[in-house]
Amino acid sequence: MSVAANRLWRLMLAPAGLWLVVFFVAPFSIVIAVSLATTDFLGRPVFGWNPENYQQVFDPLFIPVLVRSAAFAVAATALCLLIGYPVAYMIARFGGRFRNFLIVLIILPWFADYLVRIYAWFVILGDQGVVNGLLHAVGFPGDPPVTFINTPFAVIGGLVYDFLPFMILPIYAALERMDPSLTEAGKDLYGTPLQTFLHVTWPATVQGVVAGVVLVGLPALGDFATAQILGGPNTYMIGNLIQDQFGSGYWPFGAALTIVLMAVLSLLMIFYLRSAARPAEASA
Amino acid sequence: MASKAWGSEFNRRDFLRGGAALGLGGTALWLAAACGGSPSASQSPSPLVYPKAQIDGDLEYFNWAEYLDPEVIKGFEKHYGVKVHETNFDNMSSMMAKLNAGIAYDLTFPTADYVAELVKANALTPIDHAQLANWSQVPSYFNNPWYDPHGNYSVPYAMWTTGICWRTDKVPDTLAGSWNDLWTLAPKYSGKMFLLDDFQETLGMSLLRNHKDVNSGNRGDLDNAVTELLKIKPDVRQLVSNEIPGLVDGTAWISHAWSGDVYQVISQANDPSVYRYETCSEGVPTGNDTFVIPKNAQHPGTAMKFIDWMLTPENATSNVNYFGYPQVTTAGLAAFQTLVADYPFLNITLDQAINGLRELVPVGARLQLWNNAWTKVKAG
Repeated sequence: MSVAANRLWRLMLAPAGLWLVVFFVAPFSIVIAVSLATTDFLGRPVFGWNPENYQQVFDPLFIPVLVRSAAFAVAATALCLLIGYPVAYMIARFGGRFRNFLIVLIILPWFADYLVRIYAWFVILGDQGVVNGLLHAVGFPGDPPVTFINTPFAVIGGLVYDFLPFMILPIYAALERMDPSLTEAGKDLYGTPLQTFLHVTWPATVQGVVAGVVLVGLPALGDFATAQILGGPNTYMIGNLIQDQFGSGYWPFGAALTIVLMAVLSLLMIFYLRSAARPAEASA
Repeated sequence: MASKAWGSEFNRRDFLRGGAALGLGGTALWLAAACGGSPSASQSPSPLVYPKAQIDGDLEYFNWAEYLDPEVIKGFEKHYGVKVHETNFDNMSSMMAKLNAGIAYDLTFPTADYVAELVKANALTPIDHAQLANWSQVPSYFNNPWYDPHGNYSVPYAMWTTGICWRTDKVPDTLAGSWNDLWTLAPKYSGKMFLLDDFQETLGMSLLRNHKDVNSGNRGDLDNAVTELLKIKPDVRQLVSNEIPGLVDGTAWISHAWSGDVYQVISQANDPSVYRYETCSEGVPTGNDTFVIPKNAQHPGTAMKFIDWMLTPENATSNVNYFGYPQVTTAGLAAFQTLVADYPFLNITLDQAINGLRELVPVGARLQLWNNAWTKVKAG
């Protein structure tokens, strides 16, 4: 390899390298610096070495917030799986020539802004919203007939709605890759539909399921807008805690929370990447 | 072989090392710049450099939502042929966060206690009263208000009290004129009550109920205030920065509320006769907010023109009729007296606003204590 070609390779790396430095390494370093800072009397960061910001993260006070966030994320992920798997299955198996069209339909609402879609639920499910208006019209008592908004159910429902396509798409991809003759073979061997599903289809698509769980679970755990708009004072999640620190609270604590949350999510991600790599190695 | 292209003298490790070095170097530079730019609180007294009150571009306007008559803004745009770009904040802390982040606003509306801190931090553009044609409308007290020596940096806007608003048709109970009313009514009207999403107001209110200083810096006082708030929090529907829509549409029947907002509720509701407002015997938080021009304003001349526009008797009157707060000008105060003739419970006098119970900005150690307490309320 000539020296000139080598230099060319380096040059071609420069844009990507610069991108990473400007939009990841530098901001992340700033977050680390802020997480160790204190603030001046107007709340601006004053840099220094104050690891006690991290101690505050592990204050037992925040255990309910962590538990609540995890519970919401797990519930939303489970519901996404329950809804998403059958949908992906129907499209992959019975979609025929409409498959791609159906997948586009699933993605279509995501062309509208995320916040607009959450606010839409407010209009639909609000005390004076469409659903309560209908219930009231057909004679349901109560004012409003059902309180949807500002409850944990609204937040979990919102999270499911936010992230459902991230569950459907990888499962659909796995199902589509699967050879249909495998299920026929299962039936030929006198497997019931359930046995065939459990012993043939599920193992063949479990990688897609794991990808979907990761793609839904991790952003749901860190989400704040859904709880802020659809939730109430008793649905406070870790994302809200962090957002409030930067919106009006104490920046260094917010930065420390961010670093700890990122570390935990990275560990989960590494765990996922390893588990995803293993079958590939085994088949190689 | 393809992998050879990466060469022995340039590998992944070099790449990562280079990137890390660049990143750290960049951060160090940024830190140096940030530290260098931090405010020196006491600057040597130099003559104030006033911006000229003449149009110098569109106005970047940063205020609470629904806190100024949109018709008056439209009138300004039409008269001077400029645009007013409106951005809203939810509370004083988030306003400060935006200002601290260096976003350039031409005009914003801090409460008096925040003006005091902004003046100390040298974060405002001075305002020359001589260039405001309608300055004579402003009561003489504001030539030297408690929060801004010589009124160099602020023009008063509106005054308020903080209390409790409720609907007599849904809540027939007799209220006791006490902050404790929120605690006694909470279980009975669970899910029908709002508190303000404002740490000064809400922690302050809980402190007052415990007969403590509304600006307490005592950890024990704050812990008790938090514990008491957590007792009613399960019954609270929402922490709100704007209580008006919920009170109008029936989401809330009882709310921690600002006096003028109650007037807006009354003016928007189908049946205005059902709304009541009380201030509380343990302490009535009162105050006034202001027009200020941040230091980094790009169009301070237009901001000056806008302030002057708001001080004119016609505009002040129209604005008071819209937002229900007494705007602190001769015409504004007169319009307010007409407006509250039917709703005496909303009245507030200039003397009350100036000498009433002041909620002060928590700073330094007290800021950390109060942030911590407020986080506990939200997270608990």
